Amino acid sequence: MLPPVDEVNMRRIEWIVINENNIDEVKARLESEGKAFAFYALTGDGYGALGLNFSDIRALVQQQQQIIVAYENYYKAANKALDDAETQRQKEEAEAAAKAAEESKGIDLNPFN
Amino acid sequence: MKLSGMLLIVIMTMGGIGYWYYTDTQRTIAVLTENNAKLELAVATNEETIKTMAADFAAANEELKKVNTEFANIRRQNQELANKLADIDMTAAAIANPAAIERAVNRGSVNAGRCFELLSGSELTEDEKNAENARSFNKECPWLYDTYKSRGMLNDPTNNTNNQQTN
Repeated sequence: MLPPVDEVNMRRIEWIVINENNIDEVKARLESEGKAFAFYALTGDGYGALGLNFSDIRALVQQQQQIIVAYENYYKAANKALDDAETQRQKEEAEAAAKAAEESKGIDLNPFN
Repeated sequence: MKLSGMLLIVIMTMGGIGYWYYTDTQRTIAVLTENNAKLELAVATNEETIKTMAADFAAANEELKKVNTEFANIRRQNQELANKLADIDMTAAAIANPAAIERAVNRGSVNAGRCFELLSGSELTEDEKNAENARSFNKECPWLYDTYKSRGMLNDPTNNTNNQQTN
């Protein structure tokens, strides 16, 4: 039995939207919160691309999960089929052995038996 | 007398040949019966193997079909954000209403992150359990609502209403 994957706990990230009109307002807000006015910035298109990249990764995770589920189902079914076949084979072997033992007595032509 | 003696010898010889023929035939019959049993067993084993392989192939095909359907669903779900972004000019929206866009992208990021947590097996929150529809469950991965619902992991909204009315 394989262990489940570790649960993910996403860290909170804060987006701040700045344009030329609200830059002073944002600066004042950060100062009041005791934060420095320094950013790692994205353009509108860059933000969209980041979102799409995340979406692609999420789709990849989902696809991998589906593949794992499919393999699990397949191997469960295959193992069951093999077990059933082995049980059936053993049964047929026992029946054949019993039949052979019965027939190995030969044809009794002695009318006085 | 002489004739009866010869007749006795002939009868005894014939009897001996008959006995030899009988025992030899019996031995041959036993060998053939044994061979036949082995062949029957081999045929049965082969038939069982063919049956198992056919079942195996059918199971593999069934899984392949399911995976292809799920992949198509996942691709369609993945396309939703692209469609949404195609309708919105993020730059224009940030200029027009930065406060609203800031709230929206922060909310969207939390929801998107939550999708990963759920995919990794995170337990549902009470809000998620009580979600009345897919959108209120999570706007970034609403399709998970149906998955959890089919597993019976969500509270039935009808029961909640009934419970509230009772309380």
